[in-house]
Amino acid sequence: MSRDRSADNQGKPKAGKTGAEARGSVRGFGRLGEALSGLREEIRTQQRRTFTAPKEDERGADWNSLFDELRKRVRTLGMVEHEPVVDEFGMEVAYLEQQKPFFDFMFERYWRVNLRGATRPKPSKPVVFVANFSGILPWDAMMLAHAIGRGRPTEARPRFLVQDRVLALPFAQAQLARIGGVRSCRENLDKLLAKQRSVIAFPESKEQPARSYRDRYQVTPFVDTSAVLAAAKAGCAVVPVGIVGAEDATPRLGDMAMLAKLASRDLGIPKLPSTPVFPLLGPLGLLPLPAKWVISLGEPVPARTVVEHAETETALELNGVLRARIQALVEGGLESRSSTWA
Amino acid sequence: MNPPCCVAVTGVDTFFGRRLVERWSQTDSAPRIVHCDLSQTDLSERFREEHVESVVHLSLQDVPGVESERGLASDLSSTQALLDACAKAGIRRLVIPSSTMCYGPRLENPQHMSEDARLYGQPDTRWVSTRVQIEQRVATFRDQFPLCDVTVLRYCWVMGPAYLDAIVRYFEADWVPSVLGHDPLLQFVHEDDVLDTLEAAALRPHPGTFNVVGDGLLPLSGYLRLAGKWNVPTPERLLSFVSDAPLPFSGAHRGRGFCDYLKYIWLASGERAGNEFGPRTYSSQEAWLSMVGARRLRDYQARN
Repeated sequence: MSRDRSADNQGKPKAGKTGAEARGSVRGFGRLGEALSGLREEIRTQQRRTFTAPKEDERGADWNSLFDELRKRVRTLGMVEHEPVVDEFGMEVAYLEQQKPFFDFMFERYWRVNLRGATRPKPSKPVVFVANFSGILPWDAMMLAHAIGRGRPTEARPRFLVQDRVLALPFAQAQLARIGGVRSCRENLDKLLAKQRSVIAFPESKEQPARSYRDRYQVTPFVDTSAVLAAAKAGCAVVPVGIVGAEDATPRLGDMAMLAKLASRDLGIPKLPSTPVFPLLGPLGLLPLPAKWVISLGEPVPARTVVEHAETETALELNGVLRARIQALVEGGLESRSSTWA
Repeated sequence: MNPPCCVAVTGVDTFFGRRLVERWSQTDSAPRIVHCDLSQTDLSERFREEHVESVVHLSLQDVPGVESERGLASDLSSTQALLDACAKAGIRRLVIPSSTMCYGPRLENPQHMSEDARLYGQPDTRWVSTRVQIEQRVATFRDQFPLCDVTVLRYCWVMGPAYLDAIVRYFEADWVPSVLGHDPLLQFVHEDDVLDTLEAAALRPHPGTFNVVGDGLLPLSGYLRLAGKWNVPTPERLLSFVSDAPLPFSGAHRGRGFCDYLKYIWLASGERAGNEFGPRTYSSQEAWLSMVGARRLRDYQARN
């Protein structure tokens, strides 16, 4: 606007006394001046139209509109921003998309996840990911799902299986279901694969308590055959995944059975999670530490091979093979990072 | 197969009994209805005299606010009497409504339970336990008399403009207490869908057990948000004190049994019923909103 004005001012004195003379003498400047004066006139009429209508001074009108806007905002504060829509496993696509920046932050900045190994499987065919289990809250599953689902439609994100121990924590079931967590059992696996959804499974023993920090990254024998059996039934490939970093992010030092029991039985508060730093730091103790993560995708076991292991005995055999490969992937991941934090 | 010319209905004074009779009184092709009183001793003779072909058992109690031992005991004994009479009279078709609550709210439940899942019930609620017992008796009856087509219809929580039981009463208030730390996924079924399936099962043979649930599901907080109600997360122990209406199944246990239904997943898969009876008219969300909308309209009319 200011530049226009200066051009206008420059044009005027050179243009002479009247508009007609100017047009005759300096044709180029004259045409510009004409256009600019037309524009100025238009702006003036516009301004007149907007500011003279309320018959108030300009400041008053501004404040009024501000108050109107504020009132509108306040009125819609407690209202529904989006209609809640969840799929049959309770996943809320809108919520996931809303939370995407948070997951991106955790993935890229906080844990600086390094995704290594084979290419991501295509989303068109369901795949069963089998990974090592770690931590109390399923951060590993969330990050793996995020790593595979990035840049793809949210509906196609792989679902992750959650163990009962985690689901029993307060707020866990609802929150995990929203972001794609499903209780770990055979029926759910079959149904997910039948619906063409990829699944992330953790077949390490359910009964085994979370590993202590000393034994981190020792993958225990896979007792749970349901992942392999379901994959064999659905005829889909199995991808071994080694996750490094999750156990450093949530180290487990001790148990808090006493406090949890007291809270759940005598105070009527649902069971508290027993993380190591929880009592010391309050809710902050639930925050994981910023360790460096490495997620290594192994070579997929093709569907053909998986189908051959449809019996419990043979499934256990395949489980043993998968465990060994995941242990190798984990060790490779451990070697690839220079320290726990970098 | 022609529709039966005569249907016996127990409990014509209950909500669904009244609705079914009403619906059949409006059409010409409807069957003759025999109102049957379960306190009668000669039930089987009456069935035979009236040439009853099909029996719909609707006299069972709805979800109660406060459980009464006597009512539940009579539910069980009257069902047994009815089963005996049906066996004696050689009834061709028997329709028993039940509830998906019989599966029981458990952490270990799969996401969707099929009809073959075990009925764990809920030990703290007598009503659910009674329903499970009734189902067991019906199952033995089915084994003993394979000629009779027994249809068991398991409904989830029923919602609709007119239906009222303790569950609806719990959701009626403007603010609904929920269990702190839990946000269960819930299904609802519309009262018209309940009526449709009851009618279909009474008129045509549909032997088997079916979960009748609305399509789709939402978490409890989602339903409340849709209805503009306040969600009040409360520690479980305080729930019965916070709620202004008595919780469903409150009695000796102060509604503790009901809290489990607000904590864990007990969703049922309605696939089989969908194949048998066709798709439901209303989804879970529509059923819920029809209840909310009707209440709101009634409140508005009462105020003016």
